[in-house]
Amino acid sequence: MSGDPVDEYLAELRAGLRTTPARTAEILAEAEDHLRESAAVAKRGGHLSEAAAQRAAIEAFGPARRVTRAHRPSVWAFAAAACLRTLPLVAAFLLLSALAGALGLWREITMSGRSYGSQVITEHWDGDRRVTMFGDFGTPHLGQAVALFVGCVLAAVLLVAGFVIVRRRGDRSGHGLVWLPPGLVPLVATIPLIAFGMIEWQIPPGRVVGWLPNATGAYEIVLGSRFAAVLTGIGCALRAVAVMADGRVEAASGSPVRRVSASAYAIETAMKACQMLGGYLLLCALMATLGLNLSLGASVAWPVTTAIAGCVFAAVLLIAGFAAVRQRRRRSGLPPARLPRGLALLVSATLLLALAFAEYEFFAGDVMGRIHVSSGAADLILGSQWAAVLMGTCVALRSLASVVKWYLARGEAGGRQAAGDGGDLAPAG
Amino acid sequence: MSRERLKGNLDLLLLSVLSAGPAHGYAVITALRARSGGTFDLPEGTVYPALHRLEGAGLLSSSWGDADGRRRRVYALTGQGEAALAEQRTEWQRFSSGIAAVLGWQA
Repeated sequence: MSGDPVDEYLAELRAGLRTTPARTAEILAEAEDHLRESAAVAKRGGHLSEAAAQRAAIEAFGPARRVTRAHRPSVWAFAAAACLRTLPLVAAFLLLSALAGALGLWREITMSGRSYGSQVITEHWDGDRRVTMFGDFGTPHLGQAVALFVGCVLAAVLLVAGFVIVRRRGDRSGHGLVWLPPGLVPLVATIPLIAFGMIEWQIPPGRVVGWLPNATGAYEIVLGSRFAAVLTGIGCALRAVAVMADGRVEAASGSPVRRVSASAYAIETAMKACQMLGGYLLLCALMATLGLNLSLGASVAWPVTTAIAGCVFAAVLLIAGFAAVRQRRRRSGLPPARLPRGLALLVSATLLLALAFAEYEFFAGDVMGRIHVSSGAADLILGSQWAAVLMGTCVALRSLASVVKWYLARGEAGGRQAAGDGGDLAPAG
Repeated sequence: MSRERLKGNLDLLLLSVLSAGPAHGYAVITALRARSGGTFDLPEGTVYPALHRLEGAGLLSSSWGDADGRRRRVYALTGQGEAALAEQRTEWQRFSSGIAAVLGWQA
């Protein structure tokens, strides 16, 4: 604190404003100009001291809470911005689904019939039990798949274009999009993604993405998109909670973090990656359990439960390792390393993509266990493979966006740190 | 005058002050207070969001300059703002005449 009442008041205003960084800077500059001029006039007219004149100017300006409330955007503007900022994420998901599908189909065609065992032809309900018919699909229907991919890409392009147009209009009017609390965007994005996944799951035979009865490659996409949607949705929700928690910690500490060594950065990165992989494995196990309940009812085969137990065990080991290292570092009094934005995500993305690549290339899709006993298990294998690719790519995109944002924020005049608006999976503007 | 009533007519008052020529926020607020003989005395900080809203609606434009080593934002009425001011003035005149007639202040 400088002891200057105007500076203190401006700091109070800054803390209370819920506007974008650029807008906040403008509001503060304008307020400062007003207060300094008002104080100068009061000093000249009332023969007051500098501090007394400044206090008089502040009193006339109004309590900081009242002023910040007056600058608060409407609920509609807030809701519109939250919805709008999720569009790029949904578009990215569609594009990635199309990309994953294209790769899968290309493999099917060029490798002439790479198979994961029997495929689902039809599913129906007999009383309260789902009955699944299996068979071999033969050659994929390229035309249907191409139509699906083009549709996905077109929808994604439309979403992104809509987002860009609205944001540009906002920028031109000088208002831009409103500031959103950290974590809100991924939280909002969670809803459509999980809804999409659940709809895929529930509508027999789970083909919202497209009706492709003869394309084995496309069938993989359908399964993959189903799992990917649910997993990415849950990932978004977790990310939202983490970002919000981080925001609270940063707000509470309010002090700059000391410089730390390169090894501390490496350890922190590895810890974050362990945490994320652990979460991913737990989610895979959860999805597998759900899938098995739907597909097999109570009769769960042993190899499958072993695979799920293995997932959970590996996840617990990773998370326990993360917790133990963090605990030791805290006890030793070492300062925590604040990683450059996106670094941990980038490492996690690499690991996830490597996992998916290994599943596909070297282990015939069975890293998680050689299981050919049920459609539920096949769902797990295919789903985990594509989920890893999609989740990894989403995380990679998010990390790149974070790094760019961090770099741009560094260059801002005054060195003011840009508020993390949404610290989110969506390239939130 | 109650603040709520003043807020409802703030747009007209701000446009009217700026019709005299471009001015920065502090000048607008002091002119508003001076012209009203001290009757219109809002917390000064709450006038800025109204100026920003008018700018967003295209009724005002603003530009940044320097004054005493500080950044200063100067507002000016746009063509659209002038039209809106004329319209709001007419509307207010009709309204105030009606009120005055009902209250028996006019012959």
